[in-house]
Amino acid sequence: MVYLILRLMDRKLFDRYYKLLPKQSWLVKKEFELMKMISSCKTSQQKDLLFNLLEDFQYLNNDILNRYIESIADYIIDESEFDINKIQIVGMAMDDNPDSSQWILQLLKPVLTKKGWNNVKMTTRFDKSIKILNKGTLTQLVLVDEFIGSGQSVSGRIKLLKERASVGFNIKACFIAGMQFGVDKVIDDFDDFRCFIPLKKGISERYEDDEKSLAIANMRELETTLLQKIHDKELVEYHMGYNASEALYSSTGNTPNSVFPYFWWPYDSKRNPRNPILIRSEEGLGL
Amino acid sequence: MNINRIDIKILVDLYKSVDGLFPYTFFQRYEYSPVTVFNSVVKYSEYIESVDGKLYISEKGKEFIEKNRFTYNKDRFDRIPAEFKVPKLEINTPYLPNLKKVSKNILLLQDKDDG
Repeated sequence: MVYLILRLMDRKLFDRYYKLLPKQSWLVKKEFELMKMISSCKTSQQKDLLFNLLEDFQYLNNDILNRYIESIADYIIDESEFDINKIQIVGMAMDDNPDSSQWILQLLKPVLTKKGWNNVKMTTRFDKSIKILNKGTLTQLVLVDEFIGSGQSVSGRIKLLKERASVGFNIKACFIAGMQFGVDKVIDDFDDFRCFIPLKKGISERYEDDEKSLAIANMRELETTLLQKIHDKELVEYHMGYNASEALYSSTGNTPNSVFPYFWWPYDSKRNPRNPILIRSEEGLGL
Repeated sequence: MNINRIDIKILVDLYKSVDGLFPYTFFQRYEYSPVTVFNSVVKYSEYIESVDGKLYISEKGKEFIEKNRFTYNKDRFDRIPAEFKVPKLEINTPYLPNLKKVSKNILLLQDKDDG
């Protein structure tokens, strides 16, 4: 398979791969997946689109991720102006399913301890944190997560908090990355909202006019090669990323559903596994 | 960091080239993929310089190649370092072969008087 793909490579295509690698060195370990994805494009326009999107991609390897964990700790300790005796560092989870905010909180624990905050209250489940808040002592909340997409989940949490809180509170947020339009949607609900890597929509906010409609048409065309329905999950819900977020972001963790599904959707239209360049684990997204 | 066959090929080809090589050249010559070439270039960034998309051997790289005797032309006997070589014999100069190292086929042929 690789041999066949290689045989079909011309100079232009070789150079595009070669120029992409210094910017996106995470793809070095995904050579086969990448070449398979690019070679499955029907037109050179589709290939160009995928290369352009990959060039704009923000991928956090573990080294860089750990630096952002440090930044979250610095934000909480030095900038939030919250008191170690009143603060709750809160995740986004609402059930027992592990999620990215719990992963970030776990990574944050030793970093906070190293910086001298070793008795700070952390709560992985958002609903639980409201119960703790209502006891009246820990009333300064910092919501922490890896990524904010359209802001839908964050809005939902804030709504819940407002409904259930029986005492006064302050809430700030600290996210590693996220869509700017998602941040803008929820920012007024927070006393402060920090997002270290704000992202523009990968196509709509990068291209204009004809180029934009062409890119969207090409992406739509590419998405037709994916399995349209996996049990009750419809691809149309994820068109251009969940809530059309058009995200070009991932870390070594679970890829957010806001990312263009062409990069992570698990099956092609013939129900074969695709071996995509990114992996998303989501309940119900398996045949 | 172990040097491999591919690294050596790339370094030696760059050493021999007068005006550098494009990464694509390694695909044409050996079907090395973009990632394969990229990995060697990153691994030996001290010895390989990238300028305007073209690859060149650095001074340090030249020293490295010469020191490790990676360069050879036609066959592996060209790799024998100078200190192990004896003066070349003229054609038809008699010499005594080491019988242990002479192929059995030759010895058998001589037995049959047709060697």
